[in-house]
Amino acid sequence: MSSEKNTSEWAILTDVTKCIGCEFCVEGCKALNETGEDRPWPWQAKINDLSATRWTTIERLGKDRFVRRQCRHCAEPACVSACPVGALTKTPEGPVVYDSIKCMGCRYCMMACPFLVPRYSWDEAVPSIRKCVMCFERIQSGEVKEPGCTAACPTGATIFGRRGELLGEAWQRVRANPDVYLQHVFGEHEAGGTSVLEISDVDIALPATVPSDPLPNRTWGALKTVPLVFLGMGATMLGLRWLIGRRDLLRNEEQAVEEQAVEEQEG
Amino acid sequence: MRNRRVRKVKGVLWFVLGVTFVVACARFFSGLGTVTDLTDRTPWGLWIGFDVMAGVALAAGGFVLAALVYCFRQEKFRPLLRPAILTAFLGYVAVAVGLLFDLGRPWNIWRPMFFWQHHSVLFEVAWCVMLYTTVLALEFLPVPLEGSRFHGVARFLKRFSLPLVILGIMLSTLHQSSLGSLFLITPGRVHPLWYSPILPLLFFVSAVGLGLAMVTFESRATSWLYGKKSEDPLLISLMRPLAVVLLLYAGIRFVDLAARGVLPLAFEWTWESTLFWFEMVVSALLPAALILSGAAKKGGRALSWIAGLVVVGFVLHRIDTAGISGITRAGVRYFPSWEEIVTSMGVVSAAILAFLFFVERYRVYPPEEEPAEPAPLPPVRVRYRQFTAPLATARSSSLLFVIGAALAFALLPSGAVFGARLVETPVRGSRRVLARDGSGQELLLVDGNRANELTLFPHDEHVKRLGEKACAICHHMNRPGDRETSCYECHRDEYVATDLFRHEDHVRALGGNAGCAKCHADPSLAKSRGNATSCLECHEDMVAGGDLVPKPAADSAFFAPSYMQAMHGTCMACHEAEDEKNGEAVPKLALCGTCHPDPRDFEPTAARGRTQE
Amino acid sequence: MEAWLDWARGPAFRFALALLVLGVLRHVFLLVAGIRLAMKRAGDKKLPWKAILKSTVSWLFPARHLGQSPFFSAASVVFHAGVILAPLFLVSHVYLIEQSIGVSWPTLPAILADVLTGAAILGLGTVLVLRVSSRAARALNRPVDLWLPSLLLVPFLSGFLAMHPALNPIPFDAMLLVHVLSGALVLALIPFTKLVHFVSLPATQLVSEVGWHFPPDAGERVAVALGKENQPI
Repeated sequence: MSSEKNTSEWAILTDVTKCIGCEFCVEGCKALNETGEDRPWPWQAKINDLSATRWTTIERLGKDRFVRRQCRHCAEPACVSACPVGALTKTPEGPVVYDSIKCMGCRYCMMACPFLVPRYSWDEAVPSIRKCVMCFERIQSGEVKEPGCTAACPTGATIFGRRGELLGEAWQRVRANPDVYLQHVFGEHEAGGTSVLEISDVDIALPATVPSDPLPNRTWGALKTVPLVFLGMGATMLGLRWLIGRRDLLRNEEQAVEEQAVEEQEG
Repeated sequence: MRNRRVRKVKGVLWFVLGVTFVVACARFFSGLGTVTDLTDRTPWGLWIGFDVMAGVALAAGGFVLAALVYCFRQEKFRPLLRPAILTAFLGYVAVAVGLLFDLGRPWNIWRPMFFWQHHSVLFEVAWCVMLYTTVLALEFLPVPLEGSRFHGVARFLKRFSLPLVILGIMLSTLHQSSLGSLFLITPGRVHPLWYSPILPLLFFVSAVGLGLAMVTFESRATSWLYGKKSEDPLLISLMRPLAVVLLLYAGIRFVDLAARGVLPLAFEWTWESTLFWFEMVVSALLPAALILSGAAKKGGRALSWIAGLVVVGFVLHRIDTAGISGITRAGVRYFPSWEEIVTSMGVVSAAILAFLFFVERYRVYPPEEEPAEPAPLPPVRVRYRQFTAPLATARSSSLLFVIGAALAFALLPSGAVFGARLVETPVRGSRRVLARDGSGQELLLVDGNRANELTLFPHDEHVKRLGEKACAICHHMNRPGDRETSCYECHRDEYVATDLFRHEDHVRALGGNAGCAKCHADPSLAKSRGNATSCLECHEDMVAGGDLVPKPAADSAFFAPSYMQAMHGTCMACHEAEDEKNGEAVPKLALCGTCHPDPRDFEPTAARGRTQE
Repeated sequence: MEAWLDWARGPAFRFALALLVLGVLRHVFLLVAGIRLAMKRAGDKKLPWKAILKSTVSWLFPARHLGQSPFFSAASVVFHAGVILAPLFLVSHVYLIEQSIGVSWPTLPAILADVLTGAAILGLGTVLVLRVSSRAARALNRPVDLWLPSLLLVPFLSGFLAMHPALNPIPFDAMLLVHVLSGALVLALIPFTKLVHFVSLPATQLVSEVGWHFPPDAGERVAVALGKENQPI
């Protein structure tokens, strides 16, 4: 399964039981990526929902549990598959990154994402897709060692590492405290596996419609048949034309013969 | 008479175009958020659902009729072919224009041509639509070129009719169905009554039905508009194939629902199931029943009704699939703004006007047989009123365009020049509270915005309303990124400038016009808040004495302490003392640890029973 | 009242302004189209461009016509200066525009603004008095010749009173509402009344030139179309 395939990819593990909801991760992300101030735009459900200026956010689960929302950097991202211009790409290192220069703003990625993550800067005349990019370029260039969010976490609830190691760590914690944790690592298999993992003692309320198989497979099934349908339709249409033409021709000839016969009789 | 009908219709279309023109300016200069009600969770709206999804399907008449004439060799339908091709061509151009409105970066629309992403359905749709529009242009080009000096080109193009037609059918099959494939990747967004692995098939079959209906509808509409001889006999013979297609569509749809085991959902009578039945009845069941009952045999209005039902029904199907059916799941309500609706209408209006242009100028419809001898004109005296002034259509159309544009300019929100608006919910309660009404009510002068915008905050009132233990609802500022726990939680317009200054009251209190000069002392300046006399000149006791809140400097443009100043005065002292006690050199006001130094406070087992207050 | 004022200054004013700008553009477009149509039918296709330009310019700066009626010519220039400059460069107007679209320009000193407004009011008053008092003018007057200057008078008068609260007999807000609404009405009417002469002046010169270029038998054709041939004109 994909979970074995992507062991060396960058990943983030969040332990919901350790999160105190302080939102330092949000601040860390905002500071590092300079995303700007949150404002109560009409296109946001709430001001502290994910937004063009808020690439990660804390959502309260029940009374005293908090879960961090962000792009999950799927192993087989639906957004990348949906993008018709290649503005979104899955890097070999794992993060799904965005190139605004290539984007034409169709927002199919926002439609396709099963986790409803990508956001849009609706207020700009030259708008962009905005979402967590795991600080890919800054880590790549050596500016920082880990994403702004994990670096800012005061309790070590969210940590940065390789997917294989973090998955091992997650299962070790979960197995060590079976009476605390749910025996599940969120993100291990969801939508074909994601680079963002969570362990928790309560359900973290991912959208109920997230499938376990990678979404790109579904459209690929239809796209595979394109050449066949294309040529098949052409052949069918030409065939029909020939067949019907032939039928008309034969019928006309028959008619002509009949008419001739009638004429001869009368004559 | 006829002339006047055409002029009226054109006038209405130009009016819509006028409104659209202004909305378009706002959309392109100030961004999508200014004119649309799209949200982060419903990123596709009417412009995709109607302009693109339904637009492409509405233009399906071109390939359907071409297939009828060229492949099924139904030569009798040839008179309908040219208008169908023209409708299709203009329809696709309209789709492209509509798409330009919707794309955030429309100048990048050419990119799919050069940057191949074969795994994206949208990429395939883009290519097909582009190629098919070119094919349609080549199919239609002979019509305007026929009579011109380029008639050689027209003749040359006509030699390739058959290959072009076949190519057109192949491309149409692909992208009509691929518009359905677009949603295969969004199972979470489409209700199970619409989501299906065979969406591509359903989209294709319904496009064929819609194509036949559109040809019927458009033929009847132009006959009415220009008072031409109707083509009813031809149209009637289109009805049988239409019924077959509709029944096929309905059959596939129900078999698919049953096979996927979601048919019971259709009988749960949620609003989605009602929508489903409405759509099915209007798009397929009712028109098919009407045709089979023989209602269409007489022609006339019945044809328009059947075609109209199919058109409305299938347009609804596209919009449902692209958005409406997913509203419940998206968790936010989306309804298109009037700007979106008008723009969609405007794109259609432009297409119709272009259609009329071609119909009036070229031989789109076969020429009507002229009466053998033109009847001599009766010798009537022309009265001035009956005289059609030159440029009459231009005059009425341009006047309505101008009125439409002006209306749109007036109706756009006043800040449209500066872009989208923030959510506003006026804080009426605190506005009405007067500082010195003698009620003994404790008021706080706070800057909830932290932007030097002030409000009198009735603290006691809040405590009374929210309960004694509700302090934490507001007093929980230890989360630096979180602004929702403050006033914003209840007052959504918190970050919008609020103002409790009431001009009317001041005018009354200062004795009407004579009092203007009290605040607007300098007559050479425009009367505004900015250069008025400071409030502190009269209201010396705005800030209570002995308060922890520091008074603002006398020369400050702002005449009362901000929320930040208030917080620093009342809260920081305590926090600093707390920090000092814990041996912190630098106060960590926002850290939870300041007041909760024991890390065990955050252990899951320990925290489970606690309530955060 | 303030809500009404906001409405008048907001949507109502924007409607009028858009109608003014687009309506004037439409007027120009129709003029050009009409001239082209007329030229297409004309017998003589040559136009005396130089003469048209000259007469347009000479009417724009009517210094040359001063000799004929010096008082009225001078008064007319002052009146037009008042009608155009006072609204455009009044400090309060510029402030409102800056608030709504962020563009501003220099303003008139208060005294000069008062003088220009006075000139506009006086000029309009004189026009009205002359049109009513002279018997010849009365015979020629259409209703519009009386109500248009009267309507034009309202925004100037109300604006002046709003700026001078001491003289203002009614509440400030009410006066301002009258001012804004009447001003908006005037702006909206410009493209549809003869106030549009500020753009159509060259075109009217042109049209009167084009008039001389009809085909030789144009008059007879009109008479035939109206069924009035062989009738004395």
